[in-house]
Amino acid sequence: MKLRTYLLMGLCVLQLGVVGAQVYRYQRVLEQGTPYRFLAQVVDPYDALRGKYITLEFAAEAFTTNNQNIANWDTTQPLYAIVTQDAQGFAKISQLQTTAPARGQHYLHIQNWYYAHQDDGDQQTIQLSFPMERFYLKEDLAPQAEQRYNEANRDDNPYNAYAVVYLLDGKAVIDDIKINNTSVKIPID
Amino acid sequence: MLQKWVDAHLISPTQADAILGYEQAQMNATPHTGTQRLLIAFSVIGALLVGLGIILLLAHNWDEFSRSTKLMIAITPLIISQGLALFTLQQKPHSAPWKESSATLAWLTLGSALAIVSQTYHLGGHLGDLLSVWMVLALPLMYLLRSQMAAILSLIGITTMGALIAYDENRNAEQWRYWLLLAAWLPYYYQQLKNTTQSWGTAVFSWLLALSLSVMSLAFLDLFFDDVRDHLVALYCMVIALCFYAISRIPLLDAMRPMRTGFRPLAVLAFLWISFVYTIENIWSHGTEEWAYGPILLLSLPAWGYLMYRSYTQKSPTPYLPSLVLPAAFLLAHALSLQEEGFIISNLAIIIYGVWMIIKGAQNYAIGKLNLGMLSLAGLITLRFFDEDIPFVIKGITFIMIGIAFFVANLWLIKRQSARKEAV
Repeated sequence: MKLRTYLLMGLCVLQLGVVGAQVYRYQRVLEQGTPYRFLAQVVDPYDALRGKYITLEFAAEAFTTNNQNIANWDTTQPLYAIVTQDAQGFAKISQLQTTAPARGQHYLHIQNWYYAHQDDGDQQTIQLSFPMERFYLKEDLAPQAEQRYNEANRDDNPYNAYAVVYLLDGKAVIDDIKINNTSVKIPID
Repeated sequence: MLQKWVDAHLISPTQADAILGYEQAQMNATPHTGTQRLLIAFSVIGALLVGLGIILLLAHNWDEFSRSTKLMIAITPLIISQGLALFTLQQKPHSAPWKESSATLAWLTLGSALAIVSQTYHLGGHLGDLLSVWMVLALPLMYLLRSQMAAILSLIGITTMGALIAYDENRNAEQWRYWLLLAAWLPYYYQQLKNTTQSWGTAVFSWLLALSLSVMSLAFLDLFFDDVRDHLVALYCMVIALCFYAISRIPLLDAMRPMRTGFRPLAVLAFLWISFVYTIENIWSHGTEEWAYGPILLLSLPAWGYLMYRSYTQKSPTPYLPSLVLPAAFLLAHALSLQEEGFIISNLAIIIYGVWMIIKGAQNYAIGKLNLGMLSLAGLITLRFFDEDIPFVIKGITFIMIGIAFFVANLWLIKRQSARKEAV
């Protein structure tokens, strides 16, 4: 019986350890990472275990280039997308590479991607799938966010909706989503 | 009391432990009384409700709280239920209500903690991955606390995780996680089978295991064979059903009442269902490449081999024959690429099976077998009645013959029963 108690104590420590490690890993990104604004498109689905969330698709996920070297990569291998700021202050991918970048560089680790499109010139488009794709919201706020996004999208300004994302060593944590410069976490009455 | 005796040097500490162990084994061997069962049931239900309630509350997404508050809310229930589990092991190690409810709470709060962290940092990712972490960390609970509820929850969780991963196009190969976790789960089931073969708990476990394997076995075959997904799927199901039937004949399981094993009823149901599907003539006109049946025949060999071996050791081949007739008929008919003959063979197979079951049921006064036989025949008759391709004459004659057979069988059974009653 004593052995079982020790084993149970060990299991509890292990469980807390795994949970704690997850918390530590992602909290570190928020505290030590660099924020970037990614232009985003908003959709509203539902996860029964983890709650209601909005799904995001980012403009920067479509990467277009003339560089011919990227045409022959194996689509099962991960890619590293180097992130910089464009002239309007939003995030964009400046280049893709198959080897991990040096420490201190801001990048995203991409597991899923595919060759989307090649036009007659030398332009190749690769569709990336960013590691951050959803934002959990209070149940009543999620549909509101989608609605606000659709309304904001009707004008000609392409810069209406963006996500504030902290990057550190290839990991990304979304801090907030802003539509017309107002956070989605604030309810509209 | 034992401690007093040890202190008075009447018995040694080792002897005290031995006495405790003996009494514990005695308590485990005797079934719980009604009141005890009620107590266990209520504590488990209470724990389930509390745990699920916590999960639902977190799904509400309390944005008003800061990140650290949310994490506190996530981890506190986990720590509390871990504390309760440790308390149970130390102070109440023989109390089933304590063991079951603390294990249930610990299992559920672990999942809710992982889910809240995922929600707090807006982590996306496949639900199957979160379930994998949860299941690996939660599996030891059923062994350490000897909790049936934890074992049931773990099996359900492992199956859900397996199904989510295997039925995702890109990730079918990762289903080994399911098989690994299942292998870790099986020793508990084996203990349960050995120690309490006839108990209700063992029946529940057997059924859950059978259902879990049903979900995952096609996905498993899909890893190795390309044609599992097209029209041969019924034959692959037949092979799986044959394996289930063989499993149900393993001595430990064979000792249980058939309906309780889960494997036997599912296998028979599968045989019958597939057989009925194949009595429709259209299915036979599907041509297929010749050696598609090769792997299927190969796959069925272990199960057949085992059943042959078992019937040899039992010294009477007849118990297993009926259930072998159906699959054998199919595989043969398909392999020989028969068409109208295939149709006739499958109908004959069901008739033979039905009649055999009726005879066996009548002989052994086994109502279940009798009903199963009658239902099979009745189902077949109904299907054929609506079959337009059979000429009326043949239909008419066959129906009359079967009707006569029914009358005769009934008369014979009634005569036998009254003879038995007179003899008593």
